[in-house]
Amino acid sequence: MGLFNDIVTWATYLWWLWLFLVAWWYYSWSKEHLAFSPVMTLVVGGILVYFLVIEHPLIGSAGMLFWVVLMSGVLYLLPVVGSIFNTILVKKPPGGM
Amino acid sequence: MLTALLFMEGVFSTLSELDFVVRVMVFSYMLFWLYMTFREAQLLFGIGTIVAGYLIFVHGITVTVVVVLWLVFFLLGSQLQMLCWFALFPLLGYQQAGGRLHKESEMAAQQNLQEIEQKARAGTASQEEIHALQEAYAQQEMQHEQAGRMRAG
Repeated sequence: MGLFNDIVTWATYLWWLWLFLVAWWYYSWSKEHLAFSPVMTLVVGGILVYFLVIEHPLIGSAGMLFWVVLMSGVLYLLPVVGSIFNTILVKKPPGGM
Repeated sequence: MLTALLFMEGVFSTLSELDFVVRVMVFSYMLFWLYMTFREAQLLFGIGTIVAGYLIFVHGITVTVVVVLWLVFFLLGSQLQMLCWFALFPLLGYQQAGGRLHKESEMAAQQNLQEIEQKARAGTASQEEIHALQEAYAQQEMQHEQAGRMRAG
């Protein structure tokens, strides 16, 4: 049982770490978009962290991941997956050439 | 039943909270854009902020619907037209020719009628075919009269 307790403990630490990361990410989003007004940055950052990290951490995490994936441009690489597939596993035509 | 009700209540309160959060984020984007655009004119920035806040927080749903309509009809209008002409109308049995839409079944019926006319002229049409031809003529005449009445009226 000790092992499982350790796992849960570490999962809890990791979860808290993740929540801090998400909170920082939303606050930096607010800083990026409202750099001209420190008060506005605090207010919007506070609202985002309150609702998306404290109230709905799962939805906030999913939203952050979704936004990072969407904005990173990694989706443009999706067609590469298909082209790699046929280069590594080349299908020889029947009859053999 | 009670748990289901409670669950639905939770879902709706979550949705309304997220609705507010999304509005705040949209407002932040608008502020960012307004600040960059009216950096040299603080009065315009202030007025723009009030207008944007009013639109987003009071008429958010309406504005979203208008933006979606604009997206569909202006940005995706050509795709919509293409879908109508090359997917929807052919599925409904219409083909375009000479800039008009023609019902396939009516075109086939017209062709059939012409064939019977030719047979009748050659004197090889059966009694049934002649009967069908007379009916078609009577129908055409009726439509013609109706159209004339509508023009006169």
